[in-house]
Amino acid sequence: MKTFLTRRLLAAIPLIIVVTFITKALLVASPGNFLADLRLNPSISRDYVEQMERMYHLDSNNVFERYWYWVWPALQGDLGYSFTKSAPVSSLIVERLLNTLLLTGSALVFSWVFAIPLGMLAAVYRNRWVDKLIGFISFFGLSIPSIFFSLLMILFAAKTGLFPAGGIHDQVMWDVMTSWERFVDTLWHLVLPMIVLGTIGLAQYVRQMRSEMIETLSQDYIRTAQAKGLSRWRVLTRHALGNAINPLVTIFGFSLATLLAGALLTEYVFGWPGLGTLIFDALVNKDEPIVMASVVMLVLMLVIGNLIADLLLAIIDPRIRLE
Amino acid sequence: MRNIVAAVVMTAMIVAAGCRGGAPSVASGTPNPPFEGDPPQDAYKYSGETGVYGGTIVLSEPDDPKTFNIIRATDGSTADVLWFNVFRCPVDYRNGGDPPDFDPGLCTKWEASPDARTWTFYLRRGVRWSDGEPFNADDLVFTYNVILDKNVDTAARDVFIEGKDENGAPIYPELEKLDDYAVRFKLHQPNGSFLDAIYNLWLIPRHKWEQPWRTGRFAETMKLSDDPSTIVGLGPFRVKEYVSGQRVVLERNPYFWKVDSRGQRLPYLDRMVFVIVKDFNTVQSKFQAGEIDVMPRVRPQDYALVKRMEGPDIKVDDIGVSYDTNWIALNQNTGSDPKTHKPFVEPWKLRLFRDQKFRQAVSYAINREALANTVFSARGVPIYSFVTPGDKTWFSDDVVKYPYDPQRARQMLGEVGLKDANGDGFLEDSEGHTVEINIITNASNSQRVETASFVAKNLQDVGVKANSVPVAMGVLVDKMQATFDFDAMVLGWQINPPPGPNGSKNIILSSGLNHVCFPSQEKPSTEWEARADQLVQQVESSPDQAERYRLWAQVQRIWSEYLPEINLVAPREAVAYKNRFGNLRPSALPPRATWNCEEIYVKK
Repeated sequence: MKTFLTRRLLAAIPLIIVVTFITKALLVASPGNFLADLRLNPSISRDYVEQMERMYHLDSNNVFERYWYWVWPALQGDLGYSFTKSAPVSSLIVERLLNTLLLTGSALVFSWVFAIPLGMLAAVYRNRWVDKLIGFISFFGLSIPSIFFSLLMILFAAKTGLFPAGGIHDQVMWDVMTSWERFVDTLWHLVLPMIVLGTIGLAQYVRQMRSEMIETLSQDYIRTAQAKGLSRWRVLTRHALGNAINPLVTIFGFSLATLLAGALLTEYVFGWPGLGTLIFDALVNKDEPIVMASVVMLVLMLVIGNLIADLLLAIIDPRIRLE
Repeated sequence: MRNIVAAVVMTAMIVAAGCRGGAPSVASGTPNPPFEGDPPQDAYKYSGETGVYGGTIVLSEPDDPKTFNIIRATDGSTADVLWFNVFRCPVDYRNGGDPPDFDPGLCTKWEASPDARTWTFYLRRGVRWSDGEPFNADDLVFTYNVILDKNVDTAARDVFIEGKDENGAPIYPELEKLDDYAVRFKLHQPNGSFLDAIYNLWLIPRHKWEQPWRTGRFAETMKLSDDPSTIVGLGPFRVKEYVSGQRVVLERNPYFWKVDSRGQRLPYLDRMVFVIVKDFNTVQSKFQAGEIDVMPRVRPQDYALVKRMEGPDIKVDDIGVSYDTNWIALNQNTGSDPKTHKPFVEPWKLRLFRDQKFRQAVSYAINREALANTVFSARGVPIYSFVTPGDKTWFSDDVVKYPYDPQRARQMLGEVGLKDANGDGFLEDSEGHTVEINIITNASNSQRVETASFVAKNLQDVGVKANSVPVAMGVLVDKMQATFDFDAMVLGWQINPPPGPNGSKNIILSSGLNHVCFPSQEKPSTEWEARADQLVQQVESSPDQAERYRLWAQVQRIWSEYLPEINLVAPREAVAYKNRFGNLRPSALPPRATWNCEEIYVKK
């Protein structure tokens, strides 16, 4: 077990080096840098722009040199200063990380809590109206673009006044709220973006769960269990579920990785101050330190997500042993 | 179990919906936070409509500010939050004045010598910084020294450049402190628009930042992560709180130095809140839902929709033609790549682009009226020079106009030697090159992309094979100012107050970085560029205002005759706001709604 974990985590190191180097090379190769806005400002001189370029080591086009300027401090734990926000990258990311985790985490819970029972239900009542209704919901979730769904929700909020039109909490009254009011206010702001993200996730998992369940229900051991005279409930939960859920756990591992990056459009439309918008802005503005740090983080999340999935599988499935 | 979870969630949602925050902005009548100290002995007296204390104005901002260091600020969001509100220049500018003009702010008066080479400023006495420390001439001298320091990265320095000495080093006006409340700038050449330069001198307190500046740590001051109480300014508000990606809260500066006609101190509002919302559709929804109070810029395509929201609570004001321009420029750069020795523009194309008649033909081929009616949703006016009719001070109507005339355009294209020899519907030059122009523009701005497509279609109609090519903003700027690798470009300029020669000269001067058709020339490449350069010099050095208007009109005339940029359309500006604010007087110049934030109040 211990060697398994060490081996997997050590394997992440060359992965991170390769991915960051490629990212840096692409950043260097693509035209323009974060000073584009300044260049376009009629009242800013060329000397000033050049001074800034030297200051941020943007005057060289040598990939190795530019990578060195990033990787050497990074190895010592210094991820650098954001070009555009003049603040340490690590503090910027931590600040946004919690907001994103709140949103994507609750969406993840939302989609799994509903996906598994709905998927089972659809499989059990295959081709009946329940199945068709669930199928409709899942096709809706799969086919609606998240940006459009988000805009619809915002419109709904603005027209009915039942929910706030975006944001993470009330920006004006926040200071004078008690902690209970703050909790409720955040929850109230969370509902709509959570439904958007959750429905999209739900749609995928429901379909997976349904087909796995149908597959499992046709197995011999299920027939055996039914023949033994076990209750239907017991057959489903004790015999079918454990076997059907196996592939979904792997998907769950991947979905952990998308926890950090998967909510960009929803965050953007809802004005949710999360990592997605931070990374997106950094890419658009070519804010290299933030891009690099977020790449490292995404790789780590992917590795850890897979690791967790493997561990979960080992727990659920007695046939799997970690060596 | 699932039922219990669902029930808890539902209950929480209902509770949450029930205790939705009340009306965010109520005029309580008493200032909170209260004023401190005494108003200055010669406080600025505001003579307009008086208001009541209390309340909050909520604005939206598309992006986080980048810094609280006003000297180093270069981007729009930082400016929106800090300019006027938190920091002030020695003089004020009334964007909403008629016409917009300078106003004695921190100065009681200023004097220019008849030759416009010495400018003397007399400061108000008894003014205090937002931390209660007294303000005097030392602070102004300190700010000027910081700006001139080569180790400080600031764009404000360039505004003061008067030329270069024999070693090529820039020279700046000399500043002399006459006494604690008077300073004198000595210029090396006459400058009638020196106030424009002074309007870039955002004052910072010497008592806070002299030490860090002397030890070379000025760049580390006034960071976003700093304690907001250390951000000390002279504006009517001071920074209270900043939450990344969410909001900036400003609260009353208790030491602000203006009073109204009843002797009450300003500002009236308790707080200004900037909510950070990136998506423009969400901004509109939030405005409709009452979560924000002002939309300072209603886009032409949204105007009809927003206008429908008008009612007893909401006002949507059309405030006239913008100062901002849109244009298409043809690449007239005669240089070649220093490494590959390949010319930036193919020689046969360059010959066309540098031909005045070809550019005029392009101008005649463009249907500006239709462009204004479609892309700008009938909220735009045709323009023929870089000054729009919105700028009532500097606009000159005596320019060459190009009403839509495809017939004439075709004829002129024939005159420059283009004809459709192979019958494919597109024109060729005498050597058989099909005239193909790729028009690049900023892909993230839908209005620009539509404009480029529209112009391309107009040009195709007269036989020029034009294509619209949207690219990323960074790529566009790189092509404009570094690689010069483009045929034509559709873009626009945003004009900040004060409008006029000082802000536009980088566009006009052949040595300017934003002289898009051929930037950063060592020597003007044409006779008309030389003439325009000279006129800019004359405008700057002329002390007589009428003479300056006359000279600037000549620059506009040359512009329209020779078309370095073919100007297209100026949009109309509109501001939407809640009716409960008094003294909210929108202007077409940024920040459009809150330029007089100290005078705005919430009606009872």
